[in-house]
Amino acid sequence: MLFNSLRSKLTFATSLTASIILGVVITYAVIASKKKAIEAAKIEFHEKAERVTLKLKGTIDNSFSVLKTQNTIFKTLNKNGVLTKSTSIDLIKSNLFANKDYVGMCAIFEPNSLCAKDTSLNNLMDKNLFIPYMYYNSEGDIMVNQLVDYNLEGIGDYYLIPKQTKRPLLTEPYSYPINGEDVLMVTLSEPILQNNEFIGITTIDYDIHFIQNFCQDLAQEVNNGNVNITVISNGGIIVANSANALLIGQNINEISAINEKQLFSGITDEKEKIYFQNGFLILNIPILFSNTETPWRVQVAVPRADIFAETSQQAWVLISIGIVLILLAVTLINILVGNLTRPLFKLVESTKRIAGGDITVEVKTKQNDEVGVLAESFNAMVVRLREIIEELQNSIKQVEIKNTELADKEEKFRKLFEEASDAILLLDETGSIFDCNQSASDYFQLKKEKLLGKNAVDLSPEYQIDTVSSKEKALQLLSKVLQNEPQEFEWEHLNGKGESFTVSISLNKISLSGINYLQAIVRDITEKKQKDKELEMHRNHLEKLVSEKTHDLAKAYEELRATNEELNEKNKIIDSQNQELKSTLQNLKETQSQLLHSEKMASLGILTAGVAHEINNPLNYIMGAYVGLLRHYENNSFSDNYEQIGILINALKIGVERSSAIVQGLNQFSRKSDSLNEDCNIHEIINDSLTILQHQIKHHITIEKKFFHSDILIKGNAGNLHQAFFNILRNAIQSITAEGLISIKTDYIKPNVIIEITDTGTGISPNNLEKVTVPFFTTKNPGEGTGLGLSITFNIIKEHNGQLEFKSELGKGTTVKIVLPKNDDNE
Amino acid sequence: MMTMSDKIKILYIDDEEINVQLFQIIFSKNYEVLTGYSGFEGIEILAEHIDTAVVISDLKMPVMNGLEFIKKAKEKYPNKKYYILSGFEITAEIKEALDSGLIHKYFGKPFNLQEIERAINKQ
Repeated sequence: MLFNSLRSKLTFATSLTASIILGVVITYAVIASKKKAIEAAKIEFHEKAERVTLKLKGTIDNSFSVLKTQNTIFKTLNKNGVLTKSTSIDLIKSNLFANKDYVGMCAIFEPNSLCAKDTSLNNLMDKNLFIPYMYYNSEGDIMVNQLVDYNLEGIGDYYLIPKQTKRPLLTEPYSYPINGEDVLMVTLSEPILQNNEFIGITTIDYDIHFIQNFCQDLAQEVNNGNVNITVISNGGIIVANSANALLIGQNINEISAINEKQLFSGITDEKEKIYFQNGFLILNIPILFSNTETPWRVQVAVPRADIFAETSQQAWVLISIGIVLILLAVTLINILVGNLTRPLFKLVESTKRIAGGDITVEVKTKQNDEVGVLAESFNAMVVRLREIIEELQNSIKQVEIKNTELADKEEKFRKLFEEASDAILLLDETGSIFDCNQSASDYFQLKKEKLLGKNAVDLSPEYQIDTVSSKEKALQLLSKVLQNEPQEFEWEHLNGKGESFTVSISLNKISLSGINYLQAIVRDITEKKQKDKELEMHRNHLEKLVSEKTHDLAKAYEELRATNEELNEKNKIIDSQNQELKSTLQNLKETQSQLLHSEKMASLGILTAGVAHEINNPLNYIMGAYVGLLRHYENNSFSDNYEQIGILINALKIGVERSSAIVQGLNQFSRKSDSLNEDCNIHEIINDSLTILQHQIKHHITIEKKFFHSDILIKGNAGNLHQAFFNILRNAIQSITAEGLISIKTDYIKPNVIIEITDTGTGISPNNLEKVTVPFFTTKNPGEGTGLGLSITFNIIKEHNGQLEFKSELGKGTTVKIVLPKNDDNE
Repeated sequence: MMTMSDKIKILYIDDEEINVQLFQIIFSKNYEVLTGYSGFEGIEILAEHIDTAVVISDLKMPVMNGLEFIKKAKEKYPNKKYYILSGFEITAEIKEALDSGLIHKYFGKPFNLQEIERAINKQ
């Protein structure tokens, strides 16, 4: 509870009441002063608006009277038949001269007027109408000119409307350039009526920008200038605005700035009006000029906050005073209520002291009211309380003395019982444990709480040593003791962990408070028996250990033997690996020498490619020259030795072709690539090889070709195959010392290509035949052959999954048979 | 009647003067032959003779080799036929140019008149 003390409750209630009263009074005062402020503002605004109205109306109405007077003269002259064009121009000029504020004046005389019938000044006539316009030029001289567009609707309203209504007219403000500057102007137009017949108009163009300055000056006098005074034409055009001159000429319905739009919305009727709108207090009063039907308006607007500025200040002063008063009232009430409730607090304090045990308390009060009576009753209560307590204290003392005696006795017995080294148990008649000492708890290794309530039989094995059931035996013993025959016996017990131990028990019957109990005094005799048992166990354990160790030794021996065998096996493996290493070393040596050879071939390749290019270019010259010469030869007659020249030219061509073939063949051999997927034409390869070997063949060897009827293409490495056939053919050529024959036969027997190269050379002995493909084996003299040729050939054929076979007979010749699989994709 | 302008216009580039002269003599019978001694000259000639249909170039030339010249020319005039005429066997460089379509064909030196005329006339 927020207000749980009497004091705060009372204080709160009175403060609330005071606040409400003050609140109502202040609100009323503020409302009243606001009303007053509005009234004052109304009066002030009205006065300012009137001044604007008077200024504008005075000026415009004055000008209208000038027109009226002027028109009365025209009417009179016309009536008397003396109105001429020059008269009318002179009259208007004099009026214009008298009023320097006017921008210009004009007249339009209808054809029914006299001056229209005047034949002079025809340059100012239009369709029988006399239409002069007089104005000040930039030097301040009065000029006369002809009007235009006076009969167009809108532009000519100043003429057309008065002609129709026969009433004066004030046009809407419009912007007009005078001497290069835009000026806000209005036109005042007054009809000339003779016997209610319209004979023309006269007008004044008036520059009304003066009203803007007037409004600005006026605004400064009101509310520090924070006021908006606006003059609005009948059609809604802003003629003056004290706050923003840029608004001049804009229509109030088309203003885009939000603030100003708010200011001018809601102007509907032409009556005087004062109202609040969008945070402004707005006064709106109409201005009606002369005899026209188109009233303008003046609007004065002031921010609402400004009007109530003073009122708000007063309101704050009132509220501040109110708050001070309320605080004062609350403080006073608080003190008063405090005095009332202080004795009550004292009573409460005393009650607390009594509760705390101090009963010497007395409350003193001088008050005679309800609080005083309460204090007296309280004091009487305290006296009575003191008496009761004294009696109680006496009784308690006596009880305490008796208790002390009892406790002494109890203590002695307890010690006897608890500190006995034997276990002492009190059993009820069924044998359940009712009480026991610490030794009992130690014997059974169970806490006393666990032992209590347990039956002695439950703490025994099912059978005693003599094989009699524990339960049966216990029942007999119990019944005997209960018949006053104390018993002594040995017993087998189980402790809390289920371990058995042997005790001697003496069992007696005792009576306590008339109930029979059995007292059991128990002594442990287990220990000696237990030690014998342990000795036995140690011996057994030792024996077991010895047997285990013996077994482990046997096992270790077995493992050693197995390891030995494994080592022997590994030795063998190492031996064989050694062997392998040896042969690998041998292979490496071979590979190294083959690599050396490849290196040579590669260098040779680079060389031949360069040489080929250099030879091909001069060959190209010769070929070019040959073609050129051939043409001349064919077109001309060489009567004396025609045939001879033909032969000579042809010799050029053959020479070029043969040289080119050699270069091409060389290129084939030097080509270096690892691809096994090139198109290889077997016949071409054989021919290329023969071309290169041509100089060795010369005339002593006949080459016999028995080629398969069409080209044989296989997939392989063209460079390597060239080398292989080159080696075989070279061996064949070198084996022929005198004259001989080399026959080359190719055949295609699916899926293999078979090439047989037979020579009639010296042949190879059977002994050597086995070694021909062994690297570095050669029958030639040192320096003549490397002994690598057939070894490389063998490897190349093997790479192409082919076979290489040799048949030879000493003195007769050799046949080399090459079998290559035709793994060409096309077949 | 045919006029000079009806003959196929071919450009031949080689840095060796004799080759250029011979080419001019031999191929002028059937074609209008323009010649130059370097790739740079070739580019200039092509700019003057937009209607050149075939370009044949030597491979090994100083500063700008035949393939470099053809690459440059093809960027500007992709619709002409380009050929290499070289004393070299087909090298890896030439093979790549053939595979990528940079050149239409490779001719070996000494030239084969029929082979070249057949290629040109395929236009």
